Amino acid sequence: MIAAALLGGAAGADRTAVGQTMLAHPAIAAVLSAWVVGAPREGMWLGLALGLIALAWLPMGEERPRDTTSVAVAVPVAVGASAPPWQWGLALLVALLLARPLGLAIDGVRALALRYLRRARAACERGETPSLERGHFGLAALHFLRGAAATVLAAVVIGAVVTVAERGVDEAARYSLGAVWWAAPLVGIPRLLRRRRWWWAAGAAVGAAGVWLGGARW
Amino acid sequence: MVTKGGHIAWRLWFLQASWNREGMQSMGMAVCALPWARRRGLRGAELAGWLRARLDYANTNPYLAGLALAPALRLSEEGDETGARRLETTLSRVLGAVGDALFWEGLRPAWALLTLTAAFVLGPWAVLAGWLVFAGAMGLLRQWCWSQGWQRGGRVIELVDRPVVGRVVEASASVAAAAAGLTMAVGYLAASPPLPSMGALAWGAAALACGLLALKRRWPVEWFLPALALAGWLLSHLRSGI
Repeated sequence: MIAAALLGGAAGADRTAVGQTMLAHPAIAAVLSAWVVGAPREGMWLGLALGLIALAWLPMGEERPRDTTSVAVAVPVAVGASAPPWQWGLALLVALLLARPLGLAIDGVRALALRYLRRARAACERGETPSLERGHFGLAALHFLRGAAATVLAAVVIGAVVTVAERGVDEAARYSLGAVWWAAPLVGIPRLLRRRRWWWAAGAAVGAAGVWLGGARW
Repeated sequence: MVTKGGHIAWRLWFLQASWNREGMQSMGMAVCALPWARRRGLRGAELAGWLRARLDYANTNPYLAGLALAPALRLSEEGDETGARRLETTLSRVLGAVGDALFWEGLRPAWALLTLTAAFVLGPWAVLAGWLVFAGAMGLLRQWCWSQGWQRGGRVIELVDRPVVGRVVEASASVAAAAAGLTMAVGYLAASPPLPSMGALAWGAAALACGLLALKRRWPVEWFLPALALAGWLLSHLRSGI
C-alpha cells in the first residue's frame, strides 16, 4: 500500500503539477502498478480500457477532471495478482464510478491555488512582495499528497467492494462481470471512429497481420 | 547567465503546480520568471509591481512554455516591458492552440498506446522504457524551447508559423488513431482476458453500442459499463429461468 501511495502521489503530481511526463496516463500508471503487485498482463488490459475511455476526457477547457490516474494505480493494488476476471471487471466498474468524485479533489487543490493567487495579487497591490515560490511549490507538494490519498482511498473502497462481492455474488454476475472486463476497451472505440476511421482501420489491420504472422504474445 | 536559464528551464517543469480557473498558469509563469527578475535587481515595491502585472492571466502549453516566456523576458531586458507582455500573450495563445492539438490529441495518446502495444508483445518493461523515453524527450524539448526562445526573441513566431507545424499536428492525430487500432488489434488477438463463454460477439456489439450512445447523447460513459453488467446478469438469469 505504501508503494501504491508513492506511485499514486507521483502520478497525481505528474498529471496536475509537475512534468506531465505521462506517468499519470492510465495506460502507463496501470501497468506499472500491476507490475508491482505481480499482475502485469491484467494491468495492460486495465490500461487499455482506461486509456481508451479517458481519451474522451481530455484535460481542456471547463471540463471537470476525472481522476483516472489514481484509480488506475488503485485497481491492481485492490484486486491483487491472482484475482479472476470477474473481480477485475467489478474493480473497473467501481473505478470508473470513483473517478469523478476523486476528481473533485483536483478541483479542490486548484481552488486553493486561486485563493493563493488572489492573496498574492492583493499583496502586490499593497506594494508587498508575496512569497509566490513557497505557495507554488507547496501546491505541487499538495498535488502529490492528494494523489497519494486518492489512490489509497480508491484502493480501500475497491478492495472492500470486491471482498463483499466475493461472498455474495452469484455465478451469473461473475460471468457478466468477466464479460464486461473483456469488452470494456470497446466502449472507447466509437469516439476514435468519429474521425480518422481509416487510420484506425489501417492500424488495426497492421496489428492483426503482425499477430497472425508473428504470433506475438508475451 | 540568464541566457542559459538553468533555473528557469528547471522551474518550467513545475509550471502547472498553481494552475487555477481564473489566472490559469499566471502564478506558474511568474515563479518561472522570478530568478530573472532578481538578477535584474528588482526589489520591494518595484518587484511587487512587476509581479502584479504578471499575475493576471497566462495560459499556454506546458511543454512549449519556454518559447513564450524566453522571448518576452529578452524583450523586457531590452527595456520594452509593454511589448514583452504583448508578445508573451500572443505567443502563449498560439503555442497553447498548437500544443494542445499536438500533445493532448496526438503525441501523448499515440505514444501511450504504442508503448502499450510494445508491452503486449515484449512485456511490462516496455511501458517503463516508453515512459522514461517520453519523459527524457519532454525534458530536452523544454530546454530546447527555452534556448530557442532566448536566441530568437520575437522571431520565435517564425518557428510556429511554418506550414510544416500544421502538417505535423494533423499527422500526429492520424498516428494516434492508427496507434489505437494497432493496440486494439494486438490486445484483443494476443493478450485479451478469456473470451466470454457465451455470445462474445454480442458483448462486443453491446459495448460498442454503449460507447456510441454515450458519444451521441454526451452521457458519461462510466455509467454504461455498470448498466451493461446489470443487463448481462438479468439476461443470464432469464436464460437459466427459461
